[in-house]
Amino acid sequence: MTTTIRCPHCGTANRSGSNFCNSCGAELRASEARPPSSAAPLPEAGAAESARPGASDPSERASDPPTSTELPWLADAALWRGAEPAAGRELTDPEFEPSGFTDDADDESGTDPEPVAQAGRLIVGVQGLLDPVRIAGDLTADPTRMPLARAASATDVDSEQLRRLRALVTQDPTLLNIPAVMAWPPLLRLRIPWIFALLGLMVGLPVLLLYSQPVGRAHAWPGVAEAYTVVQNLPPAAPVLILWGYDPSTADEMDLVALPMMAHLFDRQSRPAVVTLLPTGLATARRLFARTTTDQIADQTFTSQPNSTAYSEIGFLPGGAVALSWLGQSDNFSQIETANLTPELAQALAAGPALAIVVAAQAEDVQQWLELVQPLAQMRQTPVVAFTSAGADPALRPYLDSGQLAGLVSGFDGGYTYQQLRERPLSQPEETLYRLHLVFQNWGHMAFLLIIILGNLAALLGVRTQLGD
Amino acid sequence: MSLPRFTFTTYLAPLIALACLILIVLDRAGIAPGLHVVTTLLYTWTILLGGFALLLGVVNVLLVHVRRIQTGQTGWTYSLALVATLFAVFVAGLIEPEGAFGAMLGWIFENLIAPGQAMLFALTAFFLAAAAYRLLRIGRTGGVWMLTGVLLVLITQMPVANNFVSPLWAILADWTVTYPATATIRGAILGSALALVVAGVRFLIGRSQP
Repeated sequence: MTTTIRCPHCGTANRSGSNFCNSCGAELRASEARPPSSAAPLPEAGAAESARPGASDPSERASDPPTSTELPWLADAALWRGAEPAAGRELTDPEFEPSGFTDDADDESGTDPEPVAQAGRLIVGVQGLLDPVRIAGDLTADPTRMPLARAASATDVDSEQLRRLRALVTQDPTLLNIPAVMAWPPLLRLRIPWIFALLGLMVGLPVLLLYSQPVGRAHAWPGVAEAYTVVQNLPPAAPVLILWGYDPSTADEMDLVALPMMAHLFDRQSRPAVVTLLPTGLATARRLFARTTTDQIADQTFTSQPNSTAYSEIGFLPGGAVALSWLGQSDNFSQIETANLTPELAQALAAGPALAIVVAAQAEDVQQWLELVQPLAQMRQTPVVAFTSAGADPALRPYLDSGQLAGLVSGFDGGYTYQQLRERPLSQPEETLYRLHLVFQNWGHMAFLLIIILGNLAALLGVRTQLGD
Repeated sequence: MSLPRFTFTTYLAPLIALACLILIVLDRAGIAPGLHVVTTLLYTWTILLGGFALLLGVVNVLLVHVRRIQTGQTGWTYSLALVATLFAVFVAGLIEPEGAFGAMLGWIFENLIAPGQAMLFALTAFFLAAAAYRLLRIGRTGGVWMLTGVLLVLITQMPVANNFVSPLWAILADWTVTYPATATIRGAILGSALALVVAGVRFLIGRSQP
């Protein structure tokens, strides 16, 4: 027969001779020295008092169970001070045993009943090295801890006090400020798919029904008018160096930012040359160029095809930001031999482009250009304009304020405002697309506002959701 | 007594990095214009190494997935699809006279790569929705400030709101983005830049390994 020793802290049965509990890591040596029946008796208040550090009698302290001597805050009397003793029994009564504080497993096996001191704790797992702190009230849904959970729920402890204790230990401020959790019917509980469905519904349906209605105007952030002015002042046939810093993953936003710029460059009959550090950057640029030229051809104001002088490609440069330093050294343009970059344009770029444009979804691309390329001698006189995503805007504002950026167009708002400044409208499909995105902006933002309001209402009313709050 | 082992990472790599650093700094500072040719060569080597690393990455991905197919690991069918797609695109690029800019690769890019990447990125909206629901609450620590900033910018960006919200609201949103938000981001950037400098110096003086 294998003899076992029960852990005085968590109640786990360990093999006799174990120094520490396999479950919680509590020391077992002191417990083993005692007979099993006295492994963890209900501590008396007087015993707990004398067990505190500084107690007068060391020998008396050494004879106390570990749970009460080493961790006095776990003593039942300390935690249950505010509780109503069952049936008028006093907590200091050595015979006091709260109802329901028994271990069913032990009852069934016929062995000694579990020491009631275990079930009396509100906090478990403090002493153990492997267990996180757990509150008895939290264990109601944990079947492995059911005896403890049932013990806590079966007492007459004031729920408000229990809730405050939980809030104190978990440091969750929402628990301090909200009333007790309301029991909502399962159908009324918010679930994550409902949030997603709300977002999809508010963006999808209005687009189908209302996209032709007037929807307001986009906000004009600072820097757009300056960017427009710089491009507008370009002389004809001016060489423009473009760093293409986005790929299809962000193209839905960035195409709307870059499309008016590209069309404007063609209006000014400038000669853009595109370079990219992304493997799919050139393909993305080509796609937008095709859209732009299609617009211009439809408008019969401009005829251009890929591989013409209206659009040139320097190419894809691997190597990350170092490639920008290489590009900034103007004599390197003469080494570039691509089908789309004519020697005349390469020579013009080497002499110094009239304008440098960074089209990037991330602020880092613009920053790297400003730090690695712009300070070089050949690029110091070249103004830089950035067309970026809305998320990159705050990081680039200081460069705009300091004058390092001559203009900044960010997000759909910026692209829309830029297009409004142009004298010539885009083609009908593109104009429809912009109007459609205004609807997206409106209803998408309203969906987010509604989601935020729902979240705050849920917190105020204490609605438990599937999201874990 | 055994001598300390001479390894590439302990001595040679930091020395090469230090030499490159000195050359680039001297060139960019304009102290030694004659170094221009050397730095251009270094930049060119880096670009070549970057291209080679890209190729190496593709080969590595291919080997990993071929091994997974051979051993029949979980999800080997996905690996098979990946390898088949890789070869299809590779062959399409080879057989077309225009190479990477041919019509077939253009179709693949336009109808497979671009929608696929856009679809994956669009999932961000749902993550943001879940985060907005859970985190933008008044009761949370700092929740009022976060919520105020979000509402300012969110409502300013609503086109329909610009018709009836006071211009003061937009001015306040501009100010929020320009000053508090920018200051915070710049602080984080400066902190990370300093950390990068410290990490670089530690590497150069041999206190840490790459």
